[in-house]
Amino acid sequence: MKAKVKAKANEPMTLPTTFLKSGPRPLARDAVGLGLRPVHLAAIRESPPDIDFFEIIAENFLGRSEAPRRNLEAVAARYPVVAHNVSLNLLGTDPLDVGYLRRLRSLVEQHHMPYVTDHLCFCASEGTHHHDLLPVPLSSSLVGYAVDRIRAVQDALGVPFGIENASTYLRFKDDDLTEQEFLRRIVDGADCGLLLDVNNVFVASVNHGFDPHAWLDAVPWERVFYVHLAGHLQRPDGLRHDTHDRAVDDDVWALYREAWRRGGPFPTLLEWDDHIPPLDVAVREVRRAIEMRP
Amino acid sequence: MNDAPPARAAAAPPAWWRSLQDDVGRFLRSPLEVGGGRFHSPREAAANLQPRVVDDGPGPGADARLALYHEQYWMRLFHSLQQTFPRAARVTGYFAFNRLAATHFATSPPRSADLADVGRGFFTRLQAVLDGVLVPDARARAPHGVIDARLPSLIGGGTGVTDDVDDLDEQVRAVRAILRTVDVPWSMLAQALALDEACRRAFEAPTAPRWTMTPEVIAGLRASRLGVRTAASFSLVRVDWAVEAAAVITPALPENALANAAGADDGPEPPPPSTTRLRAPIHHVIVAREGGVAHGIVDPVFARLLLRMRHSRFDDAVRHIEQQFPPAALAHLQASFDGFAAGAADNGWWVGTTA
Repeated sequence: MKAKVKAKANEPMTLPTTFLKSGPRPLARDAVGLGLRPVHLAAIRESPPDIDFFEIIAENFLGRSEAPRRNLEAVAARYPVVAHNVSLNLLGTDPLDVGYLRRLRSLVEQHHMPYVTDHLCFCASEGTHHHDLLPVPLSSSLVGYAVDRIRAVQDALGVPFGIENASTYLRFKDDDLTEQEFLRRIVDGADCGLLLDVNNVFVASVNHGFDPHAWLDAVPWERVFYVHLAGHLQRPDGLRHDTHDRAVDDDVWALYREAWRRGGPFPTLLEWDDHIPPLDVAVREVRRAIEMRP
Repeated sequence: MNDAPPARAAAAPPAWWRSLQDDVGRFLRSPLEVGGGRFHSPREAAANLQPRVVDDGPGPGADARLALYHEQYWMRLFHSLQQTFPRAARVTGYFAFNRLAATHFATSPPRSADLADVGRGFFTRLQAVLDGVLVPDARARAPHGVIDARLPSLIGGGTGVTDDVDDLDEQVRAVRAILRTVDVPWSMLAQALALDEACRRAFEAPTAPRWTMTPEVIAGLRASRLGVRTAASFSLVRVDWAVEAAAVITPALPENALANAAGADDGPEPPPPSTTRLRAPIHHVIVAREGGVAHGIVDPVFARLLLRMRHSRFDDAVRHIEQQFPPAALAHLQASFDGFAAGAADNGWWVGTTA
């Protein structure tokens, strides 16, 4: 089954009828959400925050422990939840993990998640996990391979699947495409969605010396599921490090405004993974997105 | 959910891409250099990859960019292991703990997408070394903190532990060398490690349904007509160092450490914990509960009862306690058993009866 996920900008995301029958909870196009983190669970229970959805790192809910899944049930009873992944290894050369995909599909169905996403990267090789989103050569000879893997993942999950642009710190000499060309060819070829990480666009633009606004020119806005925001670190050597450990940088907010101007409305999600502030601070930060919209 | 179609096979990757990925993986797994109290990526580690990476872009060169990934790989694993073993990390000091972690990951690189799995095998391996170095009287006073036989003391019990004897010998030597730099009693470290491991195991163990004790069941237990089923996640850990002050209980689920790495500098080393010996041992009970890990403390008599009643009935436990404790302890047990049994069920230590 191939999931059709195209929608016109400025209109609610249209989901295939098969998904609507099974009860997914699509997000409002101007929704704001937070990455669900364990340190916030108690605060969420005590005082449910004024946001529209949560995003989970799916791997944290598919391990041996039942505790995360139980905690998720309480959150998902109140909020729509979307599943974001960090380990599908879309451009890896190891076989796709069929068992993991089955468990993921079960979780997605249980909580009526409207779509699933992961990064355009590799994160495992030779049977070992690197627990990182590693860069891939932006090579036209990899496009077909990526398309094939993404289609296989989408088929296995049974819901629309989207890929995220990763933050990167190096480029390979094998590159023969720009990142936006590479991404566009794969998204079109796989007929999948896009999770646009505005912070990652900015981080990569500084690290590799390109114009982030020109990058946005190539975004297929009709395919954007939602947008990620996060904070990053400016290292002494000039590299931008995607640390998710602070508030969103002003330059990233500026790029977000530009993205909204070109492709909004779209749901917006804040990731905060280290030095995580109290829930109310994180909520205030993501709600700034509403003020930032032109 | 049984009707999910299997993921269909994707086309084979280009050979050059497989080769490049394998090189990247080996580069990441290669050890960091330790010097000046910190970890850093040695320049030569990336020798295979540097010719493949663009070196004329803005900012730092290819070596610094590759080093970022290399250090990020290791820091993420160190951070995850620190989260899984918070007391042991605090007692050891983060720098020494990370060196111990490096010996663990050198032979047990992560093979699961779940970062919570990276701690499997760490306790088993380190405890075996501590077993070998603790002097007999220290072991007699504080038998690695553990009085639950289900926490194994043999190398080979953990996931992914190497079977190569030469590797093991080398690891044991490396771990001993690191431990010699740790300025706290090793028995204290062993106890911190045992408490962390009990929490780790409870976290990944199944949670039993809640069970309520009734007066009829209590009467059946007292009469030894019934036995109790102890929770699969149950561990009992005896400590006589103040290790609990060193860390908070394991959180309900591990944070997404994927975005947690912040370079090789792990921040300033906090002051070491006080090496305070407790006036009396404390018996910690750890079990899995809905939403996380629950932690309780019991007195020595009831600790013995809990252990004994895992495999035998109340009358046998009473006889055992009679032999091990003064008469007043038995009177205390008899007077308090009903309330204790109700609490053991409420807390999820006991989860049912056996006929």
